[in-house]
Amino acid sequence: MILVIAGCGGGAGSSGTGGGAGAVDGGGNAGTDAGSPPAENTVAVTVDPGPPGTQNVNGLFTTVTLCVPGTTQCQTFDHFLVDTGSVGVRVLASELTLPLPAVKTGDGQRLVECLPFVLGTAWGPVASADVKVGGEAAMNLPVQVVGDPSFPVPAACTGSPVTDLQTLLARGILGVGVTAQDCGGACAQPVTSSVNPGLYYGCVSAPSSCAAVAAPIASQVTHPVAAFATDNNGTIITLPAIGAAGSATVQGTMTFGIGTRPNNGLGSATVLSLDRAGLATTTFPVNGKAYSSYIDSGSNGLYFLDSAISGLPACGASLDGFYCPPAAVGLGAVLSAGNGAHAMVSFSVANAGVLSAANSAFDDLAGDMPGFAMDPTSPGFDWGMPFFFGRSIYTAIEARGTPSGPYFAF
Amino acid sequence: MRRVPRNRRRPVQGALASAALSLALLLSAPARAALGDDVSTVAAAQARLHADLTVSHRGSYAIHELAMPSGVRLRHFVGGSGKVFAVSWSGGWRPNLRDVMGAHYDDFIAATRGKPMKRGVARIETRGMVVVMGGPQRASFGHVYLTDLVPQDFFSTGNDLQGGSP
Repeated sequence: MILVIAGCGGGAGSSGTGGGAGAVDGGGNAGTDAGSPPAENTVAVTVDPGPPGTQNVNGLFTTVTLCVPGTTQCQTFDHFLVDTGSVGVRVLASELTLPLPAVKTGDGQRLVECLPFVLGTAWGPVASADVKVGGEAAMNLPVQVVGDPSFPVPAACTGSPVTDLQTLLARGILGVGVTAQDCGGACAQPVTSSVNPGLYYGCVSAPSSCAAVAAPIASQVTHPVAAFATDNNGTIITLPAIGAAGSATVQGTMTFGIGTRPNNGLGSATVLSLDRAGLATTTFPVNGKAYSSYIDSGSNGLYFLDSAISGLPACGASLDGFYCPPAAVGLGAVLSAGNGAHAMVSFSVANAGVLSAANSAFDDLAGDMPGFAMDPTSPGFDWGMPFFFGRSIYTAIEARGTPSGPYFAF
Repeated sequence: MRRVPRNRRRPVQGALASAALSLALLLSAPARAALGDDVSTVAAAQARLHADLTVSHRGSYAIHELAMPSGVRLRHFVGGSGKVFAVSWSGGWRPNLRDVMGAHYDDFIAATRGKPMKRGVARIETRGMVVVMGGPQRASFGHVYLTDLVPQDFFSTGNDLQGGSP
């Protein structure tokens, strides 16, 4: 029986730890050395089961402090999900005790956002906060307070509501993707424009009603790292390699900035520039066909293709969607991008049915890309958390740095 | 309202009420071209969305594709009965799911409400509807279909949910 070392911080929003707690499972040497102070542009990250009462698989978490802007009235949260697939800071209303000031529209209405996450939707008002992660801070940042019951969800905001710890499985999300705001110029266009996706609403409270609005860039939920004073062009997530059976918890590091300090250079990493949709290309097998693909720390598995192409049998039943080869299989692929770069990737797919429920981190948990069999032009590869173990993954923000983002590198 | 004997008032009121409700629904229903809707609703949706419409035929069914100025492509699969049995999308932010699932949207919410959020990709089946979603937020993809309306040749290789050759 493996002793699960979960992060500290029970109860709503109570203070969490700054670094990992003591013992390191997984044996890697990445992450902060317990004996010396961590570099200011880093923060500890962990893969663990998540807040008490949740059961995450391959959930990557860190500690975030929010403050009422310009004050020392702060709240520290453990278990914010570190998500390279989204942008912006989002905190559950049920966890937040701070009176963060509201972000309003030009008409004085409350700015509220409807943001999709796969099947779910994060609905909640935009507020201002000073955001502190590791030794860095973003001041007066627009953040989303998710699941605030003051604002009933309008009919046009569809999707399954994400409202609490039970549905989010984390106290909040630290979205560190490749854009500077979560929507950008399209959401700043007039609502009548066909390019405005209608993510932002202006709401009045009594009686409650909301209508889609144009949200100025400065009011939109913003990439926290992009708003740091320095080290603000991207992030690096470094996790040690783990064994084939997985780990109960894994300790790693997120570093802020790419090429801004001695500790965050690209080194020999291969830069994969992304297209406008954030996609790169995966060729599988190594001399096989090309598929559009993406890298996402917010995905808990490596989801690719289908049984027919991968040669991996589906598990069926309660593990529907995952692969269950009789024994673990070693595979290879090539990741490439429009800038001509390419990198070979070796990966392993375990029998998902034999992975221990006592572990929460797996580098070999894989499944099919649902719907791919019926839709061969959809993305073929979602390189989720299994891809992050044993690597430093660089995520570069659009239009920043040299070379300029958006790109992933490893 | 004409007077009716007390013991017959309720059924008359009920019939009038339900007729009024149906009429109200008909007048207020948005032009959606959702699952189960008639193919004639696709043209109305095209006008509302300022989209380009192309129609192609494959096997026993037709594909009505709306290409939005935003880059999102919405494809409606119509069978011999003239009903939309599947809808797929790609190329942008996730579309309005009521527009896509129509009357089946409530089943989707009932099946997912309170459940842990899916991370990465998802496939669920509930009350005769299969739902698939995934992708990065700005390049989301997905499809829904009704299991009792979908024709057998929909599942053959070379299926064309998003267009282009497989």
